[in-house]
Amino acid sequence: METAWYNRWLEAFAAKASRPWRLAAFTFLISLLYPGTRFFLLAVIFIVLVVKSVEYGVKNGKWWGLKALIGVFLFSCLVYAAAAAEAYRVARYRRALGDTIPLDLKTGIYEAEADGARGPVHVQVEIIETGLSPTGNLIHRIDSPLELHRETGSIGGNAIKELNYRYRPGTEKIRALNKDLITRRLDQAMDSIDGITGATLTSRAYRKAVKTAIIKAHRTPKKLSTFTHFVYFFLKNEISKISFNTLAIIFILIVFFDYTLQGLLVRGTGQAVSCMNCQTCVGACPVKRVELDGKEYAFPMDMVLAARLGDYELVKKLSWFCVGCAKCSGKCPIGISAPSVASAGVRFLKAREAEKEKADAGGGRHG
Amino acid sequence: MEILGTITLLIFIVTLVATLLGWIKMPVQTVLIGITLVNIVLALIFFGLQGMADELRLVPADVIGRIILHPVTALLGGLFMGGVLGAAGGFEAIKAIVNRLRKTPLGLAGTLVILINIPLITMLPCGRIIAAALLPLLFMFGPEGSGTLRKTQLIVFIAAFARNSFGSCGPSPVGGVAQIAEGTLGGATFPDAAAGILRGPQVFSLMIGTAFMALFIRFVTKRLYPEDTVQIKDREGGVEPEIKVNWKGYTSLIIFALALLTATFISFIPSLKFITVQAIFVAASILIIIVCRVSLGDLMTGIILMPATAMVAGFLAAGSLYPTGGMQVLQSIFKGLAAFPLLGVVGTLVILVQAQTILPLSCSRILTAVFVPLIYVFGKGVGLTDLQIGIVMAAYIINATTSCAPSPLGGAGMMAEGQLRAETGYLKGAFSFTSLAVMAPLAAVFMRFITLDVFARNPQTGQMMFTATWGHLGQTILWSLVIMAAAYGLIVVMSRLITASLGRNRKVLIASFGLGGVLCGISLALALRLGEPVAGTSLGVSLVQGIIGGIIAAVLIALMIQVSFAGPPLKENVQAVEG
Amino acid sequence: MFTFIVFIIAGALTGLITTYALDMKTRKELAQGTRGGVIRAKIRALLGPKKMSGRRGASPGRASHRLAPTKEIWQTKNKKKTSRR
Ligand code: SF4
Ligand code: SF4
Repeated sequence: METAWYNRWLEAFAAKASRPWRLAAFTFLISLLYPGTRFFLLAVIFIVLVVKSVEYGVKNGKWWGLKALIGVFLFSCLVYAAAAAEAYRVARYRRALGDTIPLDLKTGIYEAEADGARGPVHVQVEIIETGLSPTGNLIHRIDSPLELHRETGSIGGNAIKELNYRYRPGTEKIRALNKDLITRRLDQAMDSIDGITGATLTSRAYRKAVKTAIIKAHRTPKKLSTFTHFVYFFLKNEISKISFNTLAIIFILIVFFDYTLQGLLVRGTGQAVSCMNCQTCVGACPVKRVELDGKEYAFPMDMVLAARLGDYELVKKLSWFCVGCAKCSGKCPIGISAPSVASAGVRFLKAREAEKEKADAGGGRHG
Repeated sequence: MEILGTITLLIFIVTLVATLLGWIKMPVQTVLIGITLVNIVLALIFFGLQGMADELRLVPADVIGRIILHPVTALLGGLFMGGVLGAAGGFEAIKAIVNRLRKTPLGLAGTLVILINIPLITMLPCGRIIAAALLPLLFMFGPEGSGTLRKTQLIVFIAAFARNSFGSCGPSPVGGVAQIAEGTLGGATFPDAAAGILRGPQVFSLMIGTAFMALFIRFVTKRLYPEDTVQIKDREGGVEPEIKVNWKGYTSLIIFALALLTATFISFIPSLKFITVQAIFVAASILIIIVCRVSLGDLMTGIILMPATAMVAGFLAAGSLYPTGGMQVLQSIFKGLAAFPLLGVVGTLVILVQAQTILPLSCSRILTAVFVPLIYVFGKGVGLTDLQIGIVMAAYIINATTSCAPSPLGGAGMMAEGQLRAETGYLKGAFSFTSLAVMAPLAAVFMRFITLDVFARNPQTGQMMFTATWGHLGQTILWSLVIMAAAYGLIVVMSRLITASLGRNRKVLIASFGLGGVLCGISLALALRLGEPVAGTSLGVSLVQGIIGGIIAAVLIALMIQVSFAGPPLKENVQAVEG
Repeated sequence: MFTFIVFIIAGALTGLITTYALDMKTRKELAQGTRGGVIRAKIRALLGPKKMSGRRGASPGRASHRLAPTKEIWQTKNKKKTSRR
């Protein structure tokens, strides 16, 4: 019988991608879908690797694997620390913009521009150390040197002059602005900068420029770097934030899904997936109970189940007990034929072994 | 909309019945998913042709959205736990403990009673888990093992155990079937009740139902094998079942018990509410895996996939009925039935309660997804009070959870039949009968008198109150005794009438089922009546309606089961043992 | 409490019936069966939801947790969305 292409493909997949690889692939997929689980899954993989390398070390007396893992661990700690430091700074900055935590301003004069009615409005914000605010630095004055823009003489120019006057050092306005910056969000604080009647556009540009200048004066960069983004892709939601339930569900789903997948991959054993452990076949079978390697099996149901799990060695051993009377398939409520499932499993096992031999022989020639 | 709903509903029902009768030989899950796909395609075509863009867009979301995640994942957690327990040898430990009980004052009889009720105590989410593990042990009591029990006794024993197993999925806190209904009731009617309003009635009627299953099978088997009166072997001469258990088994059992207790009591600690049953059971399973060094492969052999797939498929199929309007059509059908004067609301409710026993699928979760919302909406529609809906739901759920036992589609009852080497259908009659005539009425009575009084809300203060009195207790016991006596009488009379002739047996069975239906109808009508008048009918009328509904349901059930009274071959085994 | 009483009575009764159905009819065996039934009923009553044992009053919302995880999954999703913004 000609094997359909998808069957060949599936069986190749089943033969190549053994269970650990499939589990790893699932894990990766889940980690893409559920950010909350990434850290945990990584940790699990790491622990498994550690256990494996310890086993290897005990067996062979070579500890390079464990050493490498410790190195990896230390290195990732460093990487994480670097990323966390950056993230902390960004978080503080963001909170400053979004919440009521004071800005952390550097001293100096900061300049910025924004489009006004007839041209750019240029603003200088001078920040000096005062010791009054929690961060130590405050806005000293806001200035908009008239020579730097073209609003001279017009309404806008007068407005700017007025503003420059209002926000000269030591005024009530400057004090209010500083207080607003400490207690309110940046946007709200900017809103409190006066608008000059009749020069709306100019006032707006003035405000915008002041805001940009203040952001420039802030100690930290505005955004996370790509590096931190990358690290945080894996570690963003640490274990404390993980919903237990999501994890539990995902764990079960992975295990279930993988263990049913095997039956679907191999031609002829797919029907085993729908077995519902009803044991009707056991009642019909003349063999019924098989003792193998000290374990008792309900025959042929356990053979079908072994095929579903992909334990083809067991299927092979169990299939020796079958007398091929097909009483079981007649009785099974969903028509699973235990002997045909078993033979399909054994056939797959043989094919896999043959392929392995071929590969080994091929490897030998090249080596 | 109407046409589309009718078509999808027809597809759903016809396909299901065809599967049930064996015309379609495919797993129910596959059939259901097929139904879902066909329904979706139909809906898309229909809405597409009509240019109903909004409905079109809603179809996929509506279908997927019907899958309630909590019961599914809780069930997965429970199945996982079961697999781990089996792999670690926890069930062996149960066997050893029970075996030891025989030397205590409980003696053999007490031990057997406890053994029969083990599923009810462990409360795993699917009866198959414990049945698969313990059935072989039960056989060791029979003539092939220690010879403690005669073959007829063994049959009774296994049957009672099976009844107990295949109802124990109802009251389970780990993804039990009743959780679906509890969610529905708890969400709207008894806001505080989702934690297990249906557990009490379930357990109560399951205990009694188990005993009646034993009685039923005893009388039938006695009739069929009158000659089986001697012990095949001397008790002393028999081989005692030898059970080897290591510490792993006991450890896993202890962890399981702790997890069960935690899952039951954690709802009383508000700060720990975020930990759910699934998490507890997965954590316990992982603990067992680590402590007892269980391999994943061993574990997976023990896991029974079927209930989980059945549940999801059921939700999907039910989901495909919603956007297409099949649900409304179904509802209007039952409304039409209720408008029929002879049947009335009570009669319709009796039929609805028995719906799953009429259509026994391999897992009750499939149809529960359809019927629970249906009963709720129907009840509201015909003006039942909240309490009355609660009563109907209790009776419905016990019937639903026990419906996997008599199913011919690889239902759990086949497990016991297969083990007994009986003809398929030997135990079916008894399974259905206990569901119909004993368990549903008792659940309704218990719900009415005991449980609902706990969960009732004081209309003035809005506080939960407990109003049950000694009078209620007395009434519960009285009613239960009356129902049990009636069922006992029915069983005795029926067993007198059956012979070796199949045709005659069938008639006897239909007749006695009809009487069982009458019993169910009367008790349900009374239980509902004791609250307030049902939909404005007088007591006499609702009694008559209940009786008629009960008879219709019972006859439908009797027609659905292909009964064979050909029991397990006795002679063959005697020879096998002797030879 | 009433649940407990009903369970015990039902347990005793069903223990008796089951023993009888198992064809064990001596007085001693019937007593043993009854005892077994009672023990089983006690265990089961213990494991039931505590609401059944007739406590007065209840903390609001205690029961709704059973449906919580469904919500929670979506909630965590939503939370993530908002935090990303
Ligand atoms: S075909 Fe094999 S497994 Fe099936 S009943 Fe016959 S002997 Fe048993
Ligand atoms: S009869 Fe079929 S469904 Fe039942 S256990 Fe056997 S193979 Fe599985």
